Amino acid sequence: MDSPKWSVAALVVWLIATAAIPSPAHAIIPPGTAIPVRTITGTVFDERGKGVAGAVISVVGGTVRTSTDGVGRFRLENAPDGDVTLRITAIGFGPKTQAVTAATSDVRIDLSPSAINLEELVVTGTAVAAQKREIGNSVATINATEFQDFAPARDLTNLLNGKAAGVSIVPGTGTVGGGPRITIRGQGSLSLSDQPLLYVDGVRVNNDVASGPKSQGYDSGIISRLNDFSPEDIESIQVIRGPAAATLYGTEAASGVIQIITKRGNPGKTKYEFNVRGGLQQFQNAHERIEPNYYLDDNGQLAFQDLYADQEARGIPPFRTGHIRSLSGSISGGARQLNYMLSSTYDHDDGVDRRNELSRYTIRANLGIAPSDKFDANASLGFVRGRTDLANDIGFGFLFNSVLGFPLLKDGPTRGFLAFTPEVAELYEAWQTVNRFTGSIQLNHRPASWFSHRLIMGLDQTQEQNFDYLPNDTRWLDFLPPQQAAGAKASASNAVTYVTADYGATATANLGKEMKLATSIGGQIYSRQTQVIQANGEQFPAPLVSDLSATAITFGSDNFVKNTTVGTYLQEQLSWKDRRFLTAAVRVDNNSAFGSDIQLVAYPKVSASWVVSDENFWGIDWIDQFRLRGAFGESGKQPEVFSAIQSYQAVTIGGGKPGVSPEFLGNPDLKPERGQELELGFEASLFKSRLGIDATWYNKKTKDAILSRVLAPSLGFPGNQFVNIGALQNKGFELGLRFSAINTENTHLDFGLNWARNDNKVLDLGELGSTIVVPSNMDTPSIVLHHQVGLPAGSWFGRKVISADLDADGIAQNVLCDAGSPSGKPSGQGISCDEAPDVFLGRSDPRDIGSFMATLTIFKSLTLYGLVDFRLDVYHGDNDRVIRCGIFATCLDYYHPRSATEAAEFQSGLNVTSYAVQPASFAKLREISAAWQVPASWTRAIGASAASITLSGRNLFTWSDWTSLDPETFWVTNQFDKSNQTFTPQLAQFVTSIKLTF
Amino acid sequence: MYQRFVNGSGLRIAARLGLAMAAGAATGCVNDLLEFDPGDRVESGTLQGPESAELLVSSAVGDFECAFIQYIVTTSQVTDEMDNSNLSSTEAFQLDRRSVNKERTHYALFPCGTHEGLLTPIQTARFDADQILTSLEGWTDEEVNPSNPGRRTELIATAAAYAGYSYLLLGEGFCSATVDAGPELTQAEVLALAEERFTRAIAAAEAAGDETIRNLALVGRARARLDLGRGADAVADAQLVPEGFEHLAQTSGASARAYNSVYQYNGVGTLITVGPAYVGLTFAGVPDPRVQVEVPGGAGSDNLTPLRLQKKYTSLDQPIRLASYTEAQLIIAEVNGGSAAVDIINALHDAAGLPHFTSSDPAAILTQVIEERSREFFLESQHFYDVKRLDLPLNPAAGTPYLKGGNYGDMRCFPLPDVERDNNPNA
Repeated sequence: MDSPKWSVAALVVWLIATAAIPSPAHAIIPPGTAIPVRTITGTVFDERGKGVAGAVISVVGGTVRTSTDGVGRFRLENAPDGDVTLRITAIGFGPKTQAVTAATSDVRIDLSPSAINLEELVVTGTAVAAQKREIGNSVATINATEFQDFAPARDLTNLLNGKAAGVSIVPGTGTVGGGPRITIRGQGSLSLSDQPLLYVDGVRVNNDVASGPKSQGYDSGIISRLNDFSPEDIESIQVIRGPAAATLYGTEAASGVIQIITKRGNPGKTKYEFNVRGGLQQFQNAHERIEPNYYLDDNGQLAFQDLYADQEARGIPPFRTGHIRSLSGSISGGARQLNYMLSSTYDHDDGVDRRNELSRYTIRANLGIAPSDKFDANASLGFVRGRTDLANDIGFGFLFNSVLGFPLLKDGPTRGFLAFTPEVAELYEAWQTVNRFTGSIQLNHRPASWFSHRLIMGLDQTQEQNFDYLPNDTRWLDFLPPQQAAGAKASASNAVTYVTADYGATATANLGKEMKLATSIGGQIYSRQTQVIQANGEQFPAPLVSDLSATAITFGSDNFVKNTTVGTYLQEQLSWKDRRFLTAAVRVDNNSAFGSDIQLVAYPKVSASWVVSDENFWGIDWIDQFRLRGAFGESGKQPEVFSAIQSYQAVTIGGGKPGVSPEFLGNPDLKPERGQELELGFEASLFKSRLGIDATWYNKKTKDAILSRVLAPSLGFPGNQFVNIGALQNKGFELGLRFSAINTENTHLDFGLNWARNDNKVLDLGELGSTIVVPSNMDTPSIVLHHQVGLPAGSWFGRKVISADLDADGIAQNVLCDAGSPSGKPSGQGISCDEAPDVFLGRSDPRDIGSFMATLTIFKSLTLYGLVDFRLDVYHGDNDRVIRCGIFATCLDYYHPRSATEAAEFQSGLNVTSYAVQPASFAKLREISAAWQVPASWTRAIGASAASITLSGRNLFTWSDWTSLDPETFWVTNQFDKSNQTFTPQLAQFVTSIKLTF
Repeated sequence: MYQRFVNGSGLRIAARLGLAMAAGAATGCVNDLLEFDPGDRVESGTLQGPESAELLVSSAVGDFECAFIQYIVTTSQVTDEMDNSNLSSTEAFQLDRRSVNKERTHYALFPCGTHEGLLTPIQTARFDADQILTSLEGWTDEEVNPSNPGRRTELIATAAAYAGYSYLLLGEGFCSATVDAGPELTQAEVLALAEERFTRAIAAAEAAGDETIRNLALVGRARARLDLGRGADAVADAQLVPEGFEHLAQTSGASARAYNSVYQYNGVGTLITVGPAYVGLTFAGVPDPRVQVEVPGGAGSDNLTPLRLQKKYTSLDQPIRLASYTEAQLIIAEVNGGSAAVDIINALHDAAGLPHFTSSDPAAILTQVIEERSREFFLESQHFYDVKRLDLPLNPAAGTPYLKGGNYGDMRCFPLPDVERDNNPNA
């Protein structure tokens, strides 16, 4: 109901603006004058001789432009007659100008790769995309099409991982359907979501990292909405890293913005593309990685139970080999006035857990019309329908019940598994079906050479249906009481709707011969609505009955949440000779979650860019291009929707009567967090584009940091209260290197390095003192997460044994713990453990992240690719170790401790458990692939214009000291609590892809 | 044209346009867009008037009943009434082996409807009752109920009585406590606050002629005074309680929050199991019907601890006794001892169909009174503080190895948790 009102307002603004602008009839050329024109056709090739898709070809000094199709062909109509100069730009390549004589109509253009493509267009939030050279901050661009060609990713998570410096992609689990937690430039908030905003073709969309059913009683929803978008449909991804760059996105954008740009049709012959993919995935070395459960037998001798082997001996392999199947096709093409792209993808992936699988259909239709040079409209429509069946990894499945197996139970019905035997546990099901529509219409109007404006209207509607089903089955009776064995079912309908209305206008004016001023204004409305309707039922009357209505006890609930942001911005950009740029902007926002005393919040921004190498005085031959840039800006992060108001919850009280009970204390003074960032950097291309450097230093401070303060229970209101208190800092640098080691006609060897270091530090916690305890899922009371002034947010703390002796029976004596220091860090001084303070054990977020990639192309047709990514100086909580070594005494280390101090902690009865926090640094061979471009003569035989075959592997080797299954896994729903418990590790994948283009 | 904008009046027009948009974002139609929708939440502002008095008093009662049942479930695991029989939480192990430390958060923060929560439900109930009590005392009879002027006093009595019980559980359950983020109070100080609320309740109930609330508060005050070691004062109150009085805490099968959680966690979920000391209780060879326990075989949800089902509560909506003439009588018996105590014991035995108890030995009589309390009030919230108050032997003894790791401790009250100290500047 609200959006149309704004739409009308935007339309009025648009009409007023356009009314004041000369119509096309005011063009310089008198009406009726014939202009001699011609058509230029040609092909754009990369350094490997492969056609470059999406390259933009324009006539220097003219207005006509076109772009290449999927095999690099283009057709430029209405080009001026006579000799012309073409300008060609493409993502990943240096710009090129090429003269075309009047006598030439079919041209070949060869592009050279460039690590710093300053002409590349990036989305900044204004009406028109800006060239990289204009903006004062770093924007990472991932050329998805190119990566998909030689290292096909099965989902967006894999596509993003390791491709942009400073962007941490941490998968919570290796199960099919699971998604990552994304962190850009460190943890920027103490309590609010750190997830970046996600846009698809200019429309804000649902970015929930964990949307699934509350499986197995755990908050383990791991189905990521991020992976609803097929990598096959994506042209490129732009990552806007921090407040300095995201100011125009306003409230909510402090954690960064990810812009997904989907493929569009290119003018020219209709292109048909088919892609078939098949492969498998495995839990590598599963038996070796799952340690047996040790115990002392009746004779006091160390014995063990190997549940993995036991299960195999029963003829039931604990894990299966999962299959990966994908089929996609697209049709694209068009002319200057019309372009289209229709695509569809079907995916079916099996996890290694027999319950875990995903099947999904996606359909995308992108249509663009350009009835004149002054107006074009683009529609982008995407639909996904899918079903994900969750793995039973942390509650019912083999992993949970074997890793945490308990030999005391070996003679009982569980045979030593913790709660259930795997074959019975597999009766349990949890799954999600989803129907999602994402659509946008973008109207671009360029009524004059100096003015353009655009309107984007969009909708992202996700309809999830989450199920949690325990069937009525007598086999449960060995493990569950009769009422529970009679079964239960929960069904939750979750409708999430995002609405975007975004208007922007940009006007430019020349200030003399060399200076140009661009003024941009705009306004946006973003609305998110969530409607959850839940029904639960317990006790089916008989087996094989699965409808919820058949249960004996039923109950339900519904919940509606709405949040709206309304904002506007004004930006001025001054440029001199297209090489020096100064930008200043301010954005003003209001949000329905702000406290009642907060009305408007303003975020300023200023940035500068200087392409020094374009200056006349530049004389350094070996540096081809060099740009200095700097930006300062702010953006925000809104509070949680209901955090400003004091509220009671409606409850049922004794006798079934309605009542109310205190729920949230609220905070009417709550205002958004402010992310404030200074960013300085440079880009350089050296040695004839052999070496590209992109370096950025940043200092990001979060002010008015919102903290979810645990309330003293004595206040009467349970739970937490959001307060603006304290400050947080993320300071670091990002380095991107591209090195072309060999660049001959037949052989190319390129290396790439992304490395980011981030030092996170809590600066201030206001009246709350120097330390705040952060809730965690650790199974030991002596390990806690702290926000502590002077240390990284969410640091692990706990008592730590530093010296002990073992007596003849192996019992720890003379145990001393670290006495700590005022900073919270260990001092090395001993003190009785009863008096010892919690000391800093490590940071939960990595200090260094990065990736190293290498690409070798030989004979212009075979490309070998590898990517290793790494995370360093990070510590995770290992609940498996706590339970196995500290509670059940089933780990080998318990009986053969590596040191006396470790033994002392194992024997402390969870009083001292620093062993629960382990280094989770790792390097992983994430991707390797071999892609072969089939010779043209072969492809012609089948009528195709291009064909390729790719063999790829993922997650093949991990270097790490981590003590449990995988250093990457953790509860993805938690921002700071990087603790794990029997999650499925990242699976090794092997995939073959065949791509045909007609 | 934009040159003109930049060079002259156009810039002013642009500035105005920008300002107009900013103003538009701040006011007008934008306000509609930003309208707050509370969803399923009830804004506290809508509950602040006297027209909400009935709802808030009944809600305070509901919150107390919720806390009361939670108190039984959680403290019974610390005593020998119940054992923990699940593997889902290591903190539950600590409850069971009497070694909960102040760093733990489950007992401090978990709400009603769990098998480990304690402090938060009690504090919420206490806060609710005190809040509405204060409000009622500030409103007039006319404001609260124009057609029934005495209603306000009745509501004051009810709120005060349930406030008293909330303080009582806080005092009995915790070694020390705080109120409204105030300073740390000893158990005696908290119990004194309970007594004070009960006194207000009695006065208001007598003024309103509400016998039920008066008796409820009398039993409560007697319990508080007994806890405070003022036996004579306790007896004075107990003697005023009429025969047959019984007041129940209501439950409901319609919501997990209002379940009879003893039945839920023992009879349905098998997360807790009756302690072996309560199996097969007899008196002089006659089975005691007050503590009926079924041992169906098999284990609880941990597949390890033998399952023993209490049969006192057999449905999710079965109420639980909060205060009674029986309690008052056993207070008298404990304090006065002697033949009066024996008579009270035998009256209870008659009701239960048990043989009479005979003894003139004060120690034996006191021992029997304590035994009667443990059986009469099995899973009724009394036993946890009885263990401390009467210094009863711990069962199993401290130091005994615990089945699921570690040894039994000697905890007899819950420590003030760190989460209170860390977030209460006065504690």
